[in-house]
Amino acid sequence: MAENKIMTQSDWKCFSALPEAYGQILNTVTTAARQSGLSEQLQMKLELGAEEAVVNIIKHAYGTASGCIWIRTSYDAEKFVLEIADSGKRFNPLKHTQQQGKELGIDKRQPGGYGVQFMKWIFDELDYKYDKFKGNNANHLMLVLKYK
Amino acid sequence: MISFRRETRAAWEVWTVTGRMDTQTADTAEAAGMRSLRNSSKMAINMQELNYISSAGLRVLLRLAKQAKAEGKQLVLCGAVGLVKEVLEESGMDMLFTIKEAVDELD
Repeated sequence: MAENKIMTQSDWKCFSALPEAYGQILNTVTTAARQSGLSEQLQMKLELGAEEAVVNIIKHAYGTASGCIWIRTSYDAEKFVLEIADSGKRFNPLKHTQQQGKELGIDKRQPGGYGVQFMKWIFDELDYKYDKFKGNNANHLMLVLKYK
Repeated sequence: MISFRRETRAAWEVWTVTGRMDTQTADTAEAAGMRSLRNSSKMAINMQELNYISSAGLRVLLRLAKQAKAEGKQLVLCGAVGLVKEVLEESGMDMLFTIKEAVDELD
């Protein structure tokens, strides 16, 4: 159906890349997810994937300097797309998976390293590029969740 | 966003976590969990009312597990459902912990 092809897209929104902004960012993503008609189960998964992505950027992007985390959401009848951009340090999170073997015992398990693993588990497509964005070089992450 | 309750069930200290274990609540959860762990040699984390957990929450579980092991204590997870259960499986945490369907199964 032709109407299914229509994509609803938000404008890019800037949030300050600080732990305090994390709640606001997730709220923006989950509000768009509810509007998209995503099932509750997938909304929770999207929220988890968004948390992991955003937390990673807050930690790595700007160090002690301030800056924006830009968020844009889009959806159509088949998929929900979350885009995150920042003009901080060049960093491709998708290359930094330290997937931990499920067979590892307690002593060998590292407390970190699950974030990117969860992103790859949740999203059907993940794409990273470093390119011009609003006049600066920026990390640009595109995460696609299909309704399946 | 997160709340806790403690009760004793036979030899077990049951720590029920309600709400979300995420980046915003992980520190509070870890402090409360460690307090609960100090109280007993057998601790059960009841996840029946936990509806969300992220990698920050898993870190709390892992730290509690390491602490329990160091002190020779037993730690089990009970009642995980939905997304929480899926996250435990995806991370392989279900292989690290003894998992019970519900607190009723504690012996």
